[in-house]
Amino acid sequence: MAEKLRESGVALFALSYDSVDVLRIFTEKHGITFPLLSDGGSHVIRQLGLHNERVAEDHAVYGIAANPRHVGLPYPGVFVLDQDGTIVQKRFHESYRVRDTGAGVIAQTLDLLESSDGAGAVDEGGAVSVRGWLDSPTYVWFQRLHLNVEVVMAPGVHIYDQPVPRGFVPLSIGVEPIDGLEVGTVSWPSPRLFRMDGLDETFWVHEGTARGALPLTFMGAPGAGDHVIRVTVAYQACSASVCLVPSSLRLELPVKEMALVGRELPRPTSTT
Amino acid sequence: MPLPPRDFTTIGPKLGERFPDVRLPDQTGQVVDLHAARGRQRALVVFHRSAEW
Repeated sequence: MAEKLRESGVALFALSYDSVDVLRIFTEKHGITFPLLSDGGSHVIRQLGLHNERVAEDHAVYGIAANPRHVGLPYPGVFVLDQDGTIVQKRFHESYRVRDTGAGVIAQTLDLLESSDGAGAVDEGGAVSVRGWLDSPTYVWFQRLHLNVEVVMAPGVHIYDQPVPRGFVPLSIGVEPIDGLEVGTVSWPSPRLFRMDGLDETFWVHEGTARGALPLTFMGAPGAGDHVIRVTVAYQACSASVCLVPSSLRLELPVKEMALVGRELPRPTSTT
Repeated sequence: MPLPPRDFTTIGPKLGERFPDVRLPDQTGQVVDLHAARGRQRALVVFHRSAEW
């Protein structure tokens, strides 16, 4: 990914509160080829106004225990600068996960990078279509990629999010299990409140285009090989007056294993 | 129910502004001046949580 950016003439920098030593070890381990800036004590993070003061509060909502490592955390995100150093894009997102990597954040939010060939599917009747793609067509051991899913709803159509009215099916993404693949929790944009005609109830719904990201971490030992990620997106589409039956769409996304920079993939010594 | 989302248009440096000057050591211990290192290239500046986790 860094090479692709370099070829496009884009400089890449990452910044965290890690010490120089921690960053040096990380660089050696993963063959990082761009500057990792050490903001020990999070002084620059604070100075720029990016200090997340609500980490403990946010994490409590998700049942994550408070942790001294959470002090000084920034909001994770990316700035895109033009040739003059002016901010032309800024992508930050709510993140309650403790292991979002820099690469995942970049890949998730930028159009500069080529994503892998995606896959798409359309509901019968065309009320909903779904497109899925991975941050990258390749992975290395211990890498976190995102499965990006875009749900496009026809005008006047919405789908439910949690909490869902009784008897209805909320939007969800399922990934067929693969040995060594750790599947995280999807993050969708905030749903909006919707009131059904004639009913005195409100529900959380998505409309228009909703793009979600599901983190996938490849934890199996190196040499695990290429995979096909099989995804099912389930939902129930409704208009203001009528609901269609619950539906799902399936996508298949291939991903190939690459060796870490400077290393070879292990060769299998036996068939298992 | 999730917490109300924050408005990132108001948090941190804003669209259209010049990115602030940042001078920090990199993984080799060498101090890097971000704009100087960038030169006339476009750049991505990624803020992330710990590399250690």
